[in-house]
Amino acid sequence: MSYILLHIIVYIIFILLCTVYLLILYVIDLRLYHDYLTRRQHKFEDQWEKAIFQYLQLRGDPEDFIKKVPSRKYLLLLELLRQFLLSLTGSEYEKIADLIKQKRIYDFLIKRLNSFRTNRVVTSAYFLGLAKIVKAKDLLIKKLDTDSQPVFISCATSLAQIDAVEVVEKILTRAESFKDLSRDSLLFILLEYKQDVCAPLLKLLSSKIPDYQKEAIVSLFRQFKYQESAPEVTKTLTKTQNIDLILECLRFIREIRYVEAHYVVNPMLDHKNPHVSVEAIKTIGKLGAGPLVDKIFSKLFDDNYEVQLAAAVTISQDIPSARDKLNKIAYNVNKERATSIARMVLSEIDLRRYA
Amino acid sequence: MDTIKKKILFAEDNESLTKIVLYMLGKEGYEVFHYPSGENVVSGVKEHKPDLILTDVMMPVKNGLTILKEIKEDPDTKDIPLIFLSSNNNDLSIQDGLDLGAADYILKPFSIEDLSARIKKQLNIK
Amino acid sequence: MPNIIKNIILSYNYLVLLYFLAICTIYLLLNILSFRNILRYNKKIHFIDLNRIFRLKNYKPISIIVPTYNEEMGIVESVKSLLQLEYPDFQVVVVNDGSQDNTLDKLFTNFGIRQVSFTPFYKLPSKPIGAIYISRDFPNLIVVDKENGGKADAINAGINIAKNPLIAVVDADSLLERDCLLKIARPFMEDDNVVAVGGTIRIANGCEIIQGHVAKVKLSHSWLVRFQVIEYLRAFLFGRNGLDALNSILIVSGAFSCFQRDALVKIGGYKVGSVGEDMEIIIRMHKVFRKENPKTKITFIPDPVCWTEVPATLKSLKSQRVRWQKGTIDGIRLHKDIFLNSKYGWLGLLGFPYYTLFEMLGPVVEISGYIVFIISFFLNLISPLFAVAFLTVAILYGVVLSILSVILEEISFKRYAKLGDLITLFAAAFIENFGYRQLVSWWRFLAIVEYVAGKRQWGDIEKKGFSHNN
Repeated sequence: MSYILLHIIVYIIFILLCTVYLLILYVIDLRLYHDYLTRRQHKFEDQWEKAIFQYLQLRGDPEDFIKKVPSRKYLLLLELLRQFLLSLTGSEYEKIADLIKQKRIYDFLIKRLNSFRTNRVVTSAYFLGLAKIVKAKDLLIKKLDTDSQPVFISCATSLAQIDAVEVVEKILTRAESFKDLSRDSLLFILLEYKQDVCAPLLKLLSSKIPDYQKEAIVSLFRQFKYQESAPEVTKTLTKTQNIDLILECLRFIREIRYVEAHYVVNPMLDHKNPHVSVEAIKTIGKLGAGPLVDKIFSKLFDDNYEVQLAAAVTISQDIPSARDKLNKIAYNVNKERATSIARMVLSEIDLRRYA
Repeated sequence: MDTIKKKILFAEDNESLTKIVLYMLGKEGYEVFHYPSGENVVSGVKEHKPDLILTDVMMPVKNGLTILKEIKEDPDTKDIPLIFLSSNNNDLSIQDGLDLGAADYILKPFSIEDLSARIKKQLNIK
Repeated sequence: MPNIIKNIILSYNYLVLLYFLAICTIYLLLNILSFRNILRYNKKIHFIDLNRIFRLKNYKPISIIVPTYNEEMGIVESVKSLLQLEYPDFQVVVVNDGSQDNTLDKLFTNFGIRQVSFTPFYKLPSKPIGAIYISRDFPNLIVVDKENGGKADAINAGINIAKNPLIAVVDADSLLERDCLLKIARPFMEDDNVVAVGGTIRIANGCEIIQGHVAKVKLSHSWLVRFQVIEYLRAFLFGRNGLDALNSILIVSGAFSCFQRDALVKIGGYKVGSVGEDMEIIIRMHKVFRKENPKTKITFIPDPVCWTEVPATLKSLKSQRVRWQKGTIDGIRLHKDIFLNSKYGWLGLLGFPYYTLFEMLGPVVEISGYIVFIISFFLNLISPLFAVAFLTVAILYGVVLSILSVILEEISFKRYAKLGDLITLFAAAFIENFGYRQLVSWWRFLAIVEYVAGKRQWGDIEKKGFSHNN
């Protein structure tokens, strides 16, 4: 019995020893390979950086340039060009993008785009988008039908960079089929578009799309300060019960100061969700408080701290007519929270002036 | 351009952007002092007395706004024009920078022509 | 020798063996879970550029609370580096917990603070506040001067005066990465059910540090520190990561953590007088919030965001470990009703029992195991060959786990730049088994004995203050 047990233990020791050995080898291998790649990249950069600067300065011929680079070093070249594309705009950007548009590089990227390996597809789509290669548009659109989320995100992002406005609807529809594609990821894609994506998105806003997509769209409108969408956003605000969407609509209205939305925003001051009240207070402050001054002032005594703070800040920044009253609250000797908040907000203003 | 080389102090932590800007400034004939972090920028300004400061907003150790503040507080350095490079068009930090007395700002990514023009504009005013 | 004693000793050996097998299985499970977690997290971070989205997002402003006690040496540097963090809207609240040195004066001269008249917004228990100051140069810097009351008390005072809906608690000597707030705030924005988030702590000893920032990651030359590096990698990369997958995190490190203010206020803040306030508050949060909302989440981010100096001498290491062990016992004892309580899901069924059996009682089993093992050996109850074989298995299994955590680090964050550092870490993973581990177990065992004997307070030095690496 004990002999068998010992036997088993020796076996386990042997297996564990092998595991330790293999694991260590694996890590060192990983590291050496990584170091090798970095060194190779550095070497390539040292060698070619000057050539690129020269190419930029002398307005060189892209075809001649690419001819000089051996095809097995295309990935290294792309990595180097990436830095330029990310840092530059204007004519230098175009000159660098011209290099990627060359047939050799383009074919190289397309071949990788059709690879079965996710990683290759993703990097390839990345470069096609970064250099805004319109020629690749149709291929990228086809890739939107993928089942892989990383492939979808990278191809959609590239299409957005190319400013393929006509596919934005398809992007939204396809996005629905990925369960954990968040509002953030969608917004990340849409942000790559230029302002002209707003018009088609405006049409979609009134259609039947999930709330998280509406939220992303309204955020995007806010980013572009897209005035034309104001009536539709206001309508969305009246129709939805989704708190996040409500908040996003309020922020948009505040940002572009859409006074016509007053009648929708006003009742939200008393919304049961404090986050909504907070946004409503701030928004009304920017739209002009008018007859609501007293109402906002009363929010200084709300049960919720965030609501109180929003009221105090809004009064101090946007409602000069109520500032005296705020001062009075601050001079109170009682220990109410409203007093303390008023004092804090006023002391901050004081400091700004002082600084 | 003047016969004497104009001096520019350039602070930026992104390596590739640094290379590009250094190349461009060198080509235009400026004498450039580069700092890869915010740590020694202020003392560098005192030492080199540059004609212009070009600094990134987000940098290790000390960010562009703090640098700007310190430079404007010192009577010896407060008149040196400062242009800052900002990667996020975060309205707040741009506004803060201009309020604190920055001469101009440039959003990343930028074009070399644009950068060069803005630098010339600041240097000619002086 | 009577047979019955022999039998008892033998069966105790088997018990220890069983315990050992159980812990191996759990560790393996945690490892698998954390590998999955890290890979998924990496994918997420890879695709989304945090900064870009943040501008547009409804980011929640943060108040950073820094409790300080006699930190005149480092406080100015700490505050300066905190003010340089990357986040759209945050304030720093330094709480001076009745320091007897010049901490407050230093803040006066370096930040031009002046007194303001506002009073606390909340009423969490804390010693009386003397005065509140705001810096003239940095309007987002607040200093609270109060009577000494210990760390929990100081943090409560900070929460009472903090302006923003998220509260980050930071030790004065923590070195934070520039984007740590962006990272730690993210879980709150993705999911409203998140009430607390912990950061991953790494060891700063040996690193190159410039003005409160880790400029270059290096491995310390001291083996004592290297052993701790391996311990931290294991604890964070696979321990907490694995428990996170089960939503069973019982402790977030006090060096850097973040909470929803409303949640803190609702449970009455930190428990003043608790030995391990970091752990106690998390267990209490699980208890209170999961009852009313089973979806409540307490999570952590695997990115290394905070670097801290660990004890470099045996004496200070001992006092730290004794304190931790007492904190664990205290936290578990106060909330023992969670044990095997299915109301709390995996936490009750697995997480809490894990902490109780392995973290709290582990040292008892280990030390008594060693003793009984040695006795059985001398009584010829087990063969020497068997003894050696068993010990080898135990050690090798530990080494495999340590190496797996180094692999996790290598495929995800890769902070140790030199190959030599990696090899040293492997060596440390071997050597720690011969002395270091036993020593730490012994200290923890002593802590248990002391706790049971009634010495529940902090170690002598910590009785009042909490500058934790003295």
